[in-house]
Amino acid sequence: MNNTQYETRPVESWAKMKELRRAHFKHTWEAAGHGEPIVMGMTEALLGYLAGLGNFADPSYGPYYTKLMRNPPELIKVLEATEAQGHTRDVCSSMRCYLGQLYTGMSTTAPNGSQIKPTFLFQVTNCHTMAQTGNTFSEYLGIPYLSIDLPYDDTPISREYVYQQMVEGIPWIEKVTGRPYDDEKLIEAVKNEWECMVLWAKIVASTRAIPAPFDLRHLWSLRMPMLTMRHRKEGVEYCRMLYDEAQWRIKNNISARGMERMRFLHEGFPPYHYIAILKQPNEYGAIFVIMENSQGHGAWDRYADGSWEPTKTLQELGRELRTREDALRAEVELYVTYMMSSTWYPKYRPKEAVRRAQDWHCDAAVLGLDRGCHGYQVSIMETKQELQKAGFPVGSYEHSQSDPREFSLAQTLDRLESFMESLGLTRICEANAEKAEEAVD
Amino acid sequence: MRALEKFREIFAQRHEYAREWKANHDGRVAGYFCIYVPEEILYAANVLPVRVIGSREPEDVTEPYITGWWCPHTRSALAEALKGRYDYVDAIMIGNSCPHIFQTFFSWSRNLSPSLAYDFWVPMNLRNPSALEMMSKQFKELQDTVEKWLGKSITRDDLRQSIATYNDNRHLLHQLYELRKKDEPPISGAETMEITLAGMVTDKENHSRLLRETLKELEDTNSHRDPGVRLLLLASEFDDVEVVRFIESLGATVVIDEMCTGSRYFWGPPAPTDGDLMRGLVDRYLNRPSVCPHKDIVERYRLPQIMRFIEEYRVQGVVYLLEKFCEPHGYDLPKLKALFEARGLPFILLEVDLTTPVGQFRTRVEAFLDIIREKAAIG
Ligand code: SF4
Ligand code: SF4
Repeated sequence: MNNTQYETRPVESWAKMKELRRAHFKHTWEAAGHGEPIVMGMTEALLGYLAGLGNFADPSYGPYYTKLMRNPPELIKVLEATEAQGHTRDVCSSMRCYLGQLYTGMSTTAPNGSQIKPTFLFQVTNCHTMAQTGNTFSEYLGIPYLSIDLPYDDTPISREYVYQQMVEGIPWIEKVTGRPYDDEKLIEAVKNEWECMVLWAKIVASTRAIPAPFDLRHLWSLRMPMLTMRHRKEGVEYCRMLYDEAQWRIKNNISARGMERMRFLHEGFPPYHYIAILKQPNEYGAIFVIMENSQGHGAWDRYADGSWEPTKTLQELGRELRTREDALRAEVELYVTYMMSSTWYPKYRPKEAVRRAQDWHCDAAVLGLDRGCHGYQVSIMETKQELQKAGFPVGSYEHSQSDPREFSLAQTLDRLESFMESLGLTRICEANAEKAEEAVD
Repeated sequence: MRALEKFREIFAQRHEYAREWKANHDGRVAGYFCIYVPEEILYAANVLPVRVIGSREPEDVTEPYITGWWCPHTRSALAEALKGRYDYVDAIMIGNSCPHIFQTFFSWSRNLSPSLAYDFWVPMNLRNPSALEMMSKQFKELQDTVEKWLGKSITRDDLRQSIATYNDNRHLLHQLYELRKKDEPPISGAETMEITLAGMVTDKENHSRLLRETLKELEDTNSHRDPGVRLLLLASEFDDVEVVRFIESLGATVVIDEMCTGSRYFWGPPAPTDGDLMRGLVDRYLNRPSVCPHKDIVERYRLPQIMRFIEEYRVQGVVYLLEKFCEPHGYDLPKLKALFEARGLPFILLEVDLTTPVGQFRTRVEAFLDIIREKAAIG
């Protein structure tokens, strides 16, 4: 057990993250006024591709998603609105929240009461649930739907397939938006996106340091601008700033939370409506340091021995994007080759989790057994077995990521506390606990 | 023994059947999941494709591999494999499918080390313009893999012959379903299900032979069987015949189904036996009219097909047997309910688990059938 007391400080990029996050959601309501398209769907991938349209708004998960996660009673009403339409509770809870915003009119109603009309629905279908949600959403609003399949395995066939779909999608996009697709904008955006995903991998990789400059709770919120505007120059500037801060903190031995008596791997999503769960180990002077989702959003080179490192930027690779084809093929590579699909593709996950735990110098792992998400749960039990075989103690708790009705806080805290105690951890003094409560939201 | 009874026996004895087939044919057996694995390619290589289906028995062996909220079909299929009942299976295969069944495939491949475990991507939006090209390459890659695995090549003639055998079987199943349109269908839904289920675990030539006998028997029978209420059955990979038998025992006949273990498995035109065979095969798999809800993306094909069935089979009520925890089928419910409501078609949703004590449905199904009868009486 590492009982060193490190210096800790609030994360300086936090304020920027909040500013950009606000701007992203605000953009939804302002886009139409600027003549920009509003793209619905969970636009977590291929943002550069969409950027060939110029500026667009994309309130992924619905414009009130974050707000709802902070307000469980309101969230429950929205979930109930979905269930009242006849959807079962087996449908992913985040998607029930997304659809609930649709059914209650929230998706199209700005905080000042004005209405917006989304232009089309765009969905990358590596998550099947999102693909089906796209249907329901587009039919309800009567907006057209463009889906792009993103196969899990990186093969010449899958790369060509994604490329072809993107090529075919361009005239479609031009038709439904009435805007010409601009290759210059596409190229610029793909460069940004590539750079952001490399920077993000580097930021996540930097948390391998002891002490870690950020913990998982930090990364959870800090990733938002990277997810929503990685195709934009603001996204790149933000990621650079965050990366520099990580390096500065490492150089100066600034730790995430002041202590890291133990470092934990978290596999599976946490409950978004109670994200403070990611700070729970802080009370024991421990931290959650990594999870598959944080790592997965970066661009990584993976080697035959199972190891990985952030991949190179286009500049480092000496690669110029000159044409539409160059840019689209780069976009394909970014998502098919460098982004990690292993959370949906169970073939690699259990072994990767072990590697993750080893690489991030974890002492133990906690599994978030999330009833809300089917895709990310595939292989989770076998992940547990592999981790245990590799010598990592594993604890777990059950929840549903966006449904507070399927979460018992008391029971979960009880479980996690017993797990921490079984590892020989004891609760640290209040002063440290308070310190661990630094700026998060 | 009537041919019909033979199907029941084959399905009940499916593991023994496959073992025997293997011994007699000097062949291999491939277990497949879902309906997008091109069985024709396997059969062309003297491999018996066997649909992986569970036994619907209580089980306690899957817990180390899957969480408690995984659908009973996938749980049961994995349990069956872990208990060694599929020990004759040499290879397992799946086309990208829902996470639950994907889990079963991977747990099997990891823990039971089949000599070949193969998965490939099936488009989510099956009819996107790039899908045909991509699937053609994948089917070819599957063929190459099988050839390498067996150390022998599949000739064009092997493939053509196999496609013809499958076409013939599908044609016979269409003929069987055609009989169900009659005022007095000579066959019940439960019996039909026994036939389709047996077809997924039998050599197609053998199945077709029995099917021909059955069709003849059914044509010769002068059935004056009152069907009672004419029902459409919606489900996924539903295999519990007893539930259907029970529903029918309350005064109804399932005259048509839309499920992966029924019409969705074989419906649609035959695959061409000349020209580019592989492309023709891909076309059949991608463009079959009956689409899994999980893959019914962008433009819906499943719902119009259901509505066609309702029309053609003069359906009076719809029963949805939904596997507990099944997300893909849960998605279509609101849309389906709205469609049925608009047509004034009574609809009942019954959730099925690993074991389904049918008695629990009695009151609800009786009430449901009463409503339909009353509606019919009023005209
Ligand atoms: S939570 Fe899981 S099922 Fe839901 S949208 Fe995300 S990945 Fe898909
Ligand atoms: S579609 Fe439904 S029934 Fe089929 S495997 Fe998936 S969860 Fe199970």
